[in-house]
Amino acid sequence: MLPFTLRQLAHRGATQGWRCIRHDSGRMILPNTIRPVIVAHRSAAGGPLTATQSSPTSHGSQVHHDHVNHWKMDRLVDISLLPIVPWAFLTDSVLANYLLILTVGAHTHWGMESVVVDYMRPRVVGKFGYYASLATMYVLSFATFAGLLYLNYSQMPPTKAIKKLWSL
Amino acid sequence: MMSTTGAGVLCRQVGLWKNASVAISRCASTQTAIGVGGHHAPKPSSTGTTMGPASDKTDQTSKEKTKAPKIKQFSVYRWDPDRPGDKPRMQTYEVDLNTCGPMVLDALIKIKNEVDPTLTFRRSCREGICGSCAMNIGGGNTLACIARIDPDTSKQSKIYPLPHMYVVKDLVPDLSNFYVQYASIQPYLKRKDETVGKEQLLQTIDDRSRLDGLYECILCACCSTACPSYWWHGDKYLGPAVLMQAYRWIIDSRDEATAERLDALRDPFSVYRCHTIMSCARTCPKHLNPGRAIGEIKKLLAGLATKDTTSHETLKNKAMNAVKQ
Repeated sequence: MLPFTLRQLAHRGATQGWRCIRHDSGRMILPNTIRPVIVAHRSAAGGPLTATQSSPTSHGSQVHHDHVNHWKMDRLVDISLLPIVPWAFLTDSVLANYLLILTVGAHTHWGMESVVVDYMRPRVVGKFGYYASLATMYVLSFATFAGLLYLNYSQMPPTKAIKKLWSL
Repeated sequence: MMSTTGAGVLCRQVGLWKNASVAISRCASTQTAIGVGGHHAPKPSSTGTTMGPASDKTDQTSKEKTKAPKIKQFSVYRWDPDRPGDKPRMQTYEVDLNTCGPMVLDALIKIKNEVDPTLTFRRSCREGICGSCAMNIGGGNTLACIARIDPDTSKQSKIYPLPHMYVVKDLVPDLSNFYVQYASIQPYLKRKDETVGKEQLLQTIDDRSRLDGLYECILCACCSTACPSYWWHGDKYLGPAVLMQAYRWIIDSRDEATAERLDALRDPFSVYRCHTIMSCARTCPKHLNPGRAIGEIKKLLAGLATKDTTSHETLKNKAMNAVKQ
């Protein structure tokens, strides 16, 4: 359909595109300084360039799992927070607090996961740094979740605890 | 001198592979071009000496003389890859707004013509339709040709290349990745049969109107380079400009590759790195809303909305029946 395939396009960029950068005399002036940048760029670009296929199924994600259901769950939890938060805080009921812990736990966990994915990128902190921060985040999420469940089960609903804190 | 000056400006030619048409010239001398090619430089003294019919002109020039110069400072990002070890720096130029056009691009061209021919930037149409002169002006991404110069001369106007992109030279960003991403969404009509180019494809007025606000995009990359998510994941996240075009082809009633196009976007990065920050819509020099288009893609992916357009075949049959009756 296109006059050239993606592979050709990438190839063009690597060769002909930069051959156009010439001095008036026709002497090439840039390759030594520019090339490494461009090449680094290309390898950093990963998928779209190195794994270029004419099929649209590869947009360069290393992980090819489906994210649609995750997004749906995310939205459902967000919406359910709207009634659950006032319900839990107005009644201090144990049941409402279990729901609150579940939804708030999931909501903050996914939010923090996004923060780690966005800011602790393998390109910046290395693969180890990325997985280490992801693991820390999972541990913290689980600890928060378990701690709140324990509080609700054996002491008092977390909403009541928050109110008590404020009344000090 | 003139040819050097002309070739030094990076012009974007029509075509997908804009960087292939980039031509950079290095000026033989760093001396300025004032006086040599000075066709723009006002020379009031020489016009003043002419006699006769030039009396109006003398009036004008004397007026120009009395008019207080409005000197505006432009602080421009400079980096020259040809000079080994050159570090990016800001260079300040002074331009008299009385003798300059109203837009930032006018000032840049004036600087290049009259002060510093080594200043390098892309420009082509100078009327906001080609997208070449996209750059970061006063902290926001916009097109230099349709961004007015702030008349407040007490403030510097700061001009940088598009943020978080590799820089080729001065104000010229490397858009290779952006174009490869654009190509990856297959921005052309896909049909299962061989109708493309053979017969006119019918479309209802409603279906056509769904393309409004999408097809106007000039791919200047202002929105994508304003998006923090694109800064962090420019390699894997497609970015607002490309996703808006993806949506434009997904909902085109004449396109039959809808499911295939959507399937290509289901991974966690292509679309779902959009956190609805909405910098894209805020910065778009054409006042489009890529953020909304991404939201619509998410709705289509989740099955919360359907494409729901009328196919060419249905419309054709309808027309045939109408003719028969």
